[in-house]
Formats: sequence, structure tokens, C-alpha cells
Amino acid sequence: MVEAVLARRPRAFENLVRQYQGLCWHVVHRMVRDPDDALELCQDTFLRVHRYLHQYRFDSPLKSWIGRVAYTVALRHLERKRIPLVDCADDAEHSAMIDNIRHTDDLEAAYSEEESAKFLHAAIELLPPLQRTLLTLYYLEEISIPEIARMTGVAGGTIKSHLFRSRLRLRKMLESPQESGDE
Amino acid sequence: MNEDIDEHEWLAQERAMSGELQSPGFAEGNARARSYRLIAHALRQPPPDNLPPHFAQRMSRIAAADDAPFESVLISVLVAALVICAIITVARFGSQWAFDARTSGWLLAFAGCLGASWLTEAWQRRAR
Repeated sequence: MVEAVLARRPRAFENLVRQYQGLCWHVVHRMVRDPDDALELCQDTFLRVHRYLHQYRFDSPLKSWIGRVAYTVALRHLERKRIPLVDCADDAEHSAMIDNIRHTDDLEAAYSEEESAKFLHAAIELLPPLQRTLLTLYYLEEISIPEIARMTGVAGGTIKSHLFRSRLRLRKMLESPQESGDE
Repeated sequence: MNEDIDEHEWLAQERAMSGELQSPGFAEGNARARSYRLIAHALRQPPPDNLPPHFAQRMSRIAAADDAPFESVLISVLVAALVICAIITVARFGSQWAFDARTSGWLLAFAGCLGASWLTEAWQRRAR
């Protein structure tokens, strides 16, 4: 596929985009959240892929290489907008936002699967960009921790720690929203 | 192993992740397992927004247009280099030239090359 794109074969680049647009969208969307910004950054990502594909050395899967480009593009966007990658909200603020989500819902229904899922989606959205992205790569894209480390440049141990703490936090919020406020 | 990671909790998270993948559902296991299965299920859902339907086609067109400026800059540089060389050559050796039949032949060959190049480009443009 890479050779076909570099040889400028018809539809080769279009096929490449089609194959990896899901990954790019998931990474960028999870990082920046705003759909318009995410679309623009996805375009930017694939434009970079097109320009610099000749630098790809086949030392890692193409998926990782494209994922890394998408992650870097989204990261620069967050830096430009001065959005912190890890501590977007302190624990108290985060817990207060979560409480608001919980309290706007019918508490009786809150324990149904559908409501729990709705609550969880809102809680995931409130996680810091890096944690959201790591969880998405691990669960949705089913990428291993070493591969995520290669893609993001974050150490494997740090990724594991983020995954562990994010899931534990979500679990505590799900089981007892009051407790999560005391963390 | 990270010191801040509780091994049992980590294993519960991982088991719920693989369990939810193999047999979706939240009823199995204790409260902790059920919670982690719910979390795994939520995390496997794609974002609500999607890329536009013809994103790949549009991207392909953008990339093709991105190629063009580089080519045109390169062609401009080459043409400029050619013109400069021609001016220097004429200025240096022009007085020694005699326009006989041999010279006319070369001029005709040069004009022929230009014409062939122009025709090829026009044909490619039409084919596109």
C-alpha cells in the first residue's frame, strides 16, 4: 500500500485514508472533542501522511505510524489552545461535574444499564485528554500497551498507570458517586 | 510492575475487558466485575460524531492538489535555470554563430521538441 501511494497510483491514497480514517478520527476526536476541530485535524493528519510517507521506514506497523502522526497533530492543537493534556480539571471540579450529571438524571433509573452507560459516557468525556485517548486506543482500537507507547511516546508503565487509575475512577463513580467526591 | 497499581484490581479490569469482548453482557460476576464490564462496554463504543461519508475521496483530492504546487515550483526553477543558461550562452558565443543550414536544422529540432512537449501536455490534460 505504501509503495502504491508513493508511486502515485490512482486511488492508492484514497484507499489508505479509508483504511485508517477510523483510527485517526478516534485518536483526534478523543483528544480535542470538538467535531469541527477534529475534522480539520484529521485532514491535517492525512495531508502530513501524504507529504512525509517517504520517511516511513517500515520499522513499525503503518497503523502505529499514522496513529503517531494523528496524536502529534492533536497534541499540538491542544498546546496551541493551552489545554492541559493530563490535568484538565482537578479532582474536586471533576467530581462536581460528575455529580451534576448524576443529579440531573432520575436516580431510580440511574442504576439501569442504559442510564449507567449514559452516565459512563459523560464521565469518560470529562476525563483528561490523554486518559480518554489511552482508553480509546486500548479498548476501541484494541492496541496493546507497547504499541500505544510507540504511538504516543508515553512510557508503557505510565500508560498502564493511567489505564488503571482511569478505570478505577470510573468504577468508583459508577458504584457510588458520593464516594468519588471524597477521593 | 508499577507500585501504584493494585495487581488484583488490575486483573479484575483486564478480565472484565476480555470477558466483555468474548460474551457481551453485564450480569456475570460480582459487583466489581459488573462495573468493569459496563465500563468496558462504554469504552468500546465509537464517538457519536463521524467523519463525513466521502472523507477519503475528498482527502485524495486535497492531497493531489497539494502535490501540484511543488511540481509547479520545480518546473519554474528549471525553466528559470534554462533561460539564464540560454542568455549566458547567447551573450558569450552569439557573435560567433553563423545562421547556416546546419544551425537552422538544430533550431527546427528545438522547435519540434517544444511542439511535441506542448502536444503531450495538452493530450494529458484532455485525458484527465
